Amino acid sequence: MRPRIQLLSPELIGRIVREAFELLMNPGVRVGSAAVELLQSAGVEVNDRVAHIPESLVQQCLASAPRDFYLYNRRGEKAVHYGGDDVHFDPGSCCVQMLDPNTLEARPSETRDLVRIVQVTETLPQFAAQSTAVVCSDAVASNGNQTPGAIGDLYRLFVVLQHSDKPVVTGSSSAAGLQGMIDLLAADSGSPDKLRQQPRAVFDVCPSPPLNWSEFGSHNLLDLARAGVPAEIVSMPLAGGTAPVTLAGSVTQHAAETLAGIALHQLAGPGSPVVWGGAPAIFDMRTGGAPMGAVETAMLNMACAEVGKHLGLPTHGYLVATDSKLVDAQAGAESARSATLGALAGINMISGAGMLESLACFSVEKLVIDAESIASAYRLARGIEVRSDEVRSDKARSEKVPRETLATAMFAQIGLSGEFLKLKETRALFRQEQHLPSPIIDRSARGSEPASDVFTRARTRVDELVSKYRKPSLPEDVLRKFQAIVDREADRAGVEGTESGNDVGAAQATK
Amino acid sequence: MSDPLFGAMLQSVIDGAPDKAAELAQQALAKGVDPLEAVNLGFAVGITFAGEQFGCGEMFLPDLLASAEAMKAALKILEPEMLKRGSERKGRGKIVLGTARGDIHDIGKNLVATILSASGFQIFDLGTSVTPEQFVAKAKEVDADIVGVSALLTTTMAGQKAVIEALDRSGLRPRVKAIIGGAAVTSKWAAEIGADGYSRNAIDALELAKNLMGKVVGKVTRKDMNKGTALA
Repeated sequence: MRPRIQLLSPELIGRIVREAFELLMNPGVRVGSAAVELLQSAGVEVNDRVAHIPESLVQQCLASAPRDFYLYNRRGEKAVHYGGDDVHFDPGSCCVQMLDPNTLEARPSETRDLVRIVQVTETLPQFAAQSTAVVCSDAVASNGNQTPGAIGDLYRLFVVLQHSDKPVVTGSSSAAGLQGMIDLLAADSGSPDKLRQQPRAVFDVCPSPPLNWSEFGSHNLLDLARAGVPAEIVSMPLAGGTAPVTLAGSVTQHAAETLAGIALHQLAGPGSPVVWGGAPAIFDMRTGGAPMGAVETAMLNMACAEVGKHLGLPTHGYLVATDSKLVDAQAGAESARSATLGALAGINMISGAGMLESLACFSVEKLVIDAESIASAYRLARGIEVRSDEVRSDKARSEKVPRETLATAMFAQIGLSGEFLKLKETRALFRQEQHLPSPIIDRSARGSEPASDVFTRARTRVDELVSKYRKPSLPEDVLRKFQAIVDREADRAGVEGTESGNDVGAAQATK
Repeated sequence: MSDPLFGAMLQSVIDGAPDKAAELAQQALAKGVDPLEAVNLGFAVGITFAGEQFGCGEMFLPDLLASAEAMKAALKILEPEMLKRGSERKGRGKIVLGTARGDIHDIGKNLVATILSASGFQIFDLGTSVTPEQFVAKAKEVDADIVGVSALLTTTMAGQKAVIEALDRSGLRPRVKAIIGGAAVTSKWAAEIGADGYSRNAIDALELAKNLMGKVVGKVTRKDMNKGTALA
């Protein structure tokens, strides 16, 4: 039996969905201009950019949305299964600050930080996907202040694709920047059709709470649907701030915003892959912030995913983050707790590892510690399995030791000698039974050296992983296509040619 | 001041009871109490106390907002009378607020507007995604003392710089002060773009605005504060 946690009763899920449908009619949902015509042609009443979307239309859109889909790695293998209760993790996205492990201060993140995060993520099996984790302030600065978002998003994806074979969770913070990113992925896959058939990336698209699909959010959602590139709807109600203070009320608002997104998405591209994602949080009544490490935030993520599963959709949540500014006990407690809860909730993609300070700061040291929490969470989620049939020693077989036992067959071999370490079963099964942590987790006996803390061990581990990392070799023609797309987009964004050349060169020069 | 009316006034603000505050303001006018005194010795003591309680973690944002609403309800009744008497509160400044171009996140900006307005500042809220030109035009129109620009996103923070540059170009600065805030904003960024100030939250924004105005709004003495504490 696989352990699961459920927070919502079937009755409550029913109420949540019912009220979400009511919200879609009254007060309705604010939508961007790109969505108005699409909705009107589907018979939706739109007054002053507020759409009143009837349940029948949303049900029709839910029916056309795929129940599951895969993300593929560069080798064309299925690497992430969005669907069922499969659980995957990826690092948090779009951070602006990096924790300097020497000074313990936050400083603006740069290209070298993104590369280091990608390298570490690439080597860790706990992460099924990469993310465009941090903003590259060095690249943005040389682009001037006019359009850092549009070109910055493309640049981050460019850096990740150059350094990784894994699938990517990404996003575009502007309507103008999306096409360049899709082009980049199509170049990586070989063609737009290939990208559609074997998508390498999923794009986060966010409504603005409450009940508002902004101009660029609507635009990106429709473009992704038409391109057949997976979209992950990341609604982030803040309970008490931008959404009802009750957790159930915020889950309801999340459902309404996501249902509206699915309606827009499926109207534009029926059958295009879409994820019931989210980054819901409570609203901190002292700071006005969004405490990502709070247990209620984890509860919101779990409950939102439950609603998504009820509707038969792939799910996503934002967990494994902390509000602490340092990689300390608070960071460990909050991140490990939510990794565990997310895994037990069966959320398909869980973003947020590596994030400090309520998503404002990234630490690559935290990322490797989080990987241990994730490994433990995976272990827990596998539950307690019966393995007596899996390995039977020759001796047991020849002596006709009974099958289907938990312990008696092993005792039949060794009696009261206690020699379990010698048993073939022990050697064959301990790797399945136990998660074997990296040296980050200290279980050693005290020696003569002073004990080290986890942060110190994590720093060593990061260096080790980076030295283990090997950069994928991309075909020359793909690199040339990448370059041409980045140059084209840089021109369009008004970046001077020499500067974009430098940026690109910097990314290529790194490792 | 031993008038129990003042005690009830500050308590209505601490309790976050706008109806009660309005009723007490009416009573004060009916009794012929100087409206400026009603504010300075009554309601304003309550809002200052609420701010302090928030600062030390005893009150929370919903409490503070309710106090601010009560304060505003009282001011709405007292202000016309103050105007009539020519006894406007001293140090009161005019502040133009808005979120940076491209940014539609306004929860922080709204909090600042409420707290500042409850503390006697005159707020001209331009709403969300405001262009530098709109900020400059409004600042000129109302003869603003301070312009405040909020930005949540790193991508819209550049808009704060654009507003400051526009204020410089228009010649309004340095007379008009420019302040910034928002989740991603740091004091370093404020210094980098030459802002006159930055605050982490709405209460700090009030302190910042008061300091920039060069005087304290609604003079409250330590004795008044103690009275507030006793009532809480």
